[in-house]
Amino acid sequence: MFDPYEILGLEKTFNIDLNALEQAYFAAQRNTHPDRFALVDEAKKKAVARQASLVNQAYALLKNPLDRATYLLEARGVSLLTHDQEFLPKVIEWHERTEAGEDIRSELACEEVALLQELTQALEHHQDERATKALYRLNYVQKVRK
Amino acid sequence: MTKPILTLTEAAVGHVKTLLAGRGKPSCGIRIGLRSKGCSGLSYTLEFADEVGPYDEVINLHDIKVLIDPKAVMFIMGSEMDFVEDKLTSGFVFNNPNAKGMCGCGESFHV
Amino acid sequence: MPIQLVEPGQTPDLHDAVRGVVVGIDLGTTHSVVAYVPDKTPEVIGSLVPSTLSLEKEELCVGSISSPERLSSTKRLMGQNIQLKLGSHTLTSVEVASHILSHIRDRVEKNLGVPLEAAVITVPAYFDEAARVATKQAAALARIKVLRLINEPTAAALAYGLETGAEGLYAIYDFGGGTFDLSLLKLQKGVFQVLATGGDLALGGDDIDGALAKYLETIKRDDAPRLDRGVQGYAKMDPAIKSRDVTIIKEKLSHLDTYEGITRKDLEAIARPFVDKTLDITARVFKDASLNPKDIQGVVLVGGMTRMPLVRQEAEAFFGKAPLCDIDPDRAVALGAALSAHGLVNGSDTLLLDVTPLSLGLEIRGGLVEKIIPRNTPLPALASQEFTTQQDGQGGMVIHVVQGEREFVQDCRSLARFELKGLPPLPAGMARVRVDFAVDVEGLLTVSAIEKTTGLSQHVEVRPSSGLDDKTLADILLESQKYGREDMEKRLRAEKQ
Repeated sequence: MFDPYEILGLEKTFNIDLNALEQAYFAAQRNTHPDRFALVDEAKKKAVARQASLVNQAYALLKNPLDRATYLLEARGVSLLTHDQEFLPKVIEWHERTEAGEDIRSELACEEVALLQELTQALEHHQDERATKALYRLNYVQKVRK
Repeated sequence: MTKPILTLTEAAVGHVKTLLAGRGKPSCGIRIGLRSKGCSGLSYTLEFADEVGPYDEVINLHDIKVLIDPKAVMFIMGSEMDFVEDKLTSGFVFNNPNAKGMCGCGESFHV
Repeated sequence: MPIQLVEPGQTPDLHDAVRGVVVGIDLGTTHSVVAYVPDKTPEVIGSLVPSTLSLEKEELCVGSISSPERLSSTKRLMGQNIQLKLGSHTLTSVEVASHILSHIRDRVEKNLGVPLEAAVITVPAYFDEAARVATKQAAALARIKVLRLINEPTAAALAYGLETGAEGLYAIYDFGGGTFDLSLLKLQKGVFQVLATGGDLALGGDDIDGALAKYLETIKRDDAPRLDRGVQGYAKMDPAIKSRDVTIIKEKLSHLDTYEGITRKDLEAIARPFVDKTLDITARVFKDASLNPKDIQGVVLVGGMTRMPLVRQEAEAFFGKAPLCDIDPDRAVALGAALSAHGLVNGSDTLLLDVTPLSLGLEIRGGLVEKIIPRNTPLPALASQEFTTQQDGQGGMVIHVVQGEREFVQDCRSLARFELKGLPPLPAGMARVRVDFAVDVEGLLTVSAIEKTTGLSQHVEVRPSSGLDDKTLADILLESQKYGREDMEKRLRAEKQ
């Protein structure tokens, strides 16, 4: 199983210090980057490259809070939401207001911050249902903002 | 529990301790490194260590502090360090029981 | 051989008595440069070699800038299957590059008196798969062992960073004879991390020269520049001489206001659209990295074109700070490559983390491209994607690998096409074909496909289709069909038992 936390030697928490993450990434690359093994034979090179690729994937995943939350929930066997009835009215409201020419960008930005806080708290307290809801909504808001 | 990076045989422990004691000055431990032989291959190096390098992997085995250069870690993973002696030569060797799957990263992964 | 426990630094040298030298080679569009690291600081070996191939008394000769019969700027054709004529010779760009590399090897061996053992060769960051493979082929033809290809702006960053100890965010603006690259890097404690890169393989000094030559042709006969061969209708002149004149005019006008009746203003008006294009690309790279030009500590100028006052001025305006010119823009790339080569062979604490410049994807229904590895993904990279069949009992699936940013296959570069045959007869949508992409640190791709219910698999080292002759292609296809069937039969036998 691909475990980004284990690959980078980090504790399995949702909140991570991005500087510490970067340092862990560099340290892992120092051990696995193919340039450190420039002179080895092809078979070993492939194994090294594979490990370095996993380090890159782990770093990319952990850098992104949504991916991090998704990973943590799925690793705990929690199934993610595919729809959220309670959220629908808000989505429709945003849609209508945008259609009417209203600029809701700053509102969405605030919503995103609030949802991220909600997600963090839910994950910290192991409230899986609350977390999956926040994650679903956050995914939506981020997509819309893009 | 993960497997130890390196194990030492009794003979290796004995000789390392003798050599450390006979060095004539205090040592922090021993350092295993990797060096290239031109473009044809690699070999391990074995030196007394005076201090721990910033990226060294540090393991304690039988009261010996073994520092492993990050470049060497991947290759040494799971090896056994032994001391061999015959009529012509003596010294340390690294035996790798599973030289084929040495980096231990063959697991599958998900996207 | 058993190893002895020795004092630090006293490990006996096991190297062969005669040890060759490792070098860094900047195989440029207009000039090539080679450097090595004699002790700690890199040094250029000899002077710049013009990247030209000419005929001198029926002999192929590298480095002439005056021969009327010569091939130049062939780097722009790397990875394209175009036959070039030189006298009675027919050559590809790979062969021209191999002649230049052989010339460099001879020069290194003559100057240093030791064999050239291996080299790091630089390529534009924006070079695609085909051009990278072509560069490696050229080195193989010249019998040069390639330690690694590295990207030109990354090499320049390495030279600059190690020389000055710089830390923070830096932009490398590399405007050369043939190509433009812009890379954004984060430098800290020996780590050179590329955050984003972009470029144009057909944007360089050569294009400005071409535009200048066209402009000169429009000038009336009487006003034509009077260079060393007197008055003559410019348009009628020998193209080889013309191109030399253009270079001379361009160089003179970098410090003179007027030369042979052409003013610097004229030249700047001609060059401006090209410079603007570099800035558009630069802006896009910043956007990719979610950074602002204000965020960077400095911009390093590399490549011959950055000598042009207009380029410096525009770069300064864009970045809001004076560009750094601590190292010679013509030599920075080779010096960085030499440092890289030295580090690869002797070990180093410096870490180069580069990215893929172009997205890699697969053709899906409707001629669309499904991106598997987006551009600016750190290397090495692995990615997988699952596909399924569209029809009941579909026995095979064509896997078409492309490179580029566009939505439609026809607008991207086709890298490889192979067929996974012998799929189990399943209803549409039931087969599970997983395609794995692996890109190594040099940016070279390997693709493999596996059908998950039967374990039928195929492994393809991607070689761009345009670089292959038909016979090789046929052989590859035959082989993949053969192995596909064999694997399937093996599987069936196993299941029967």
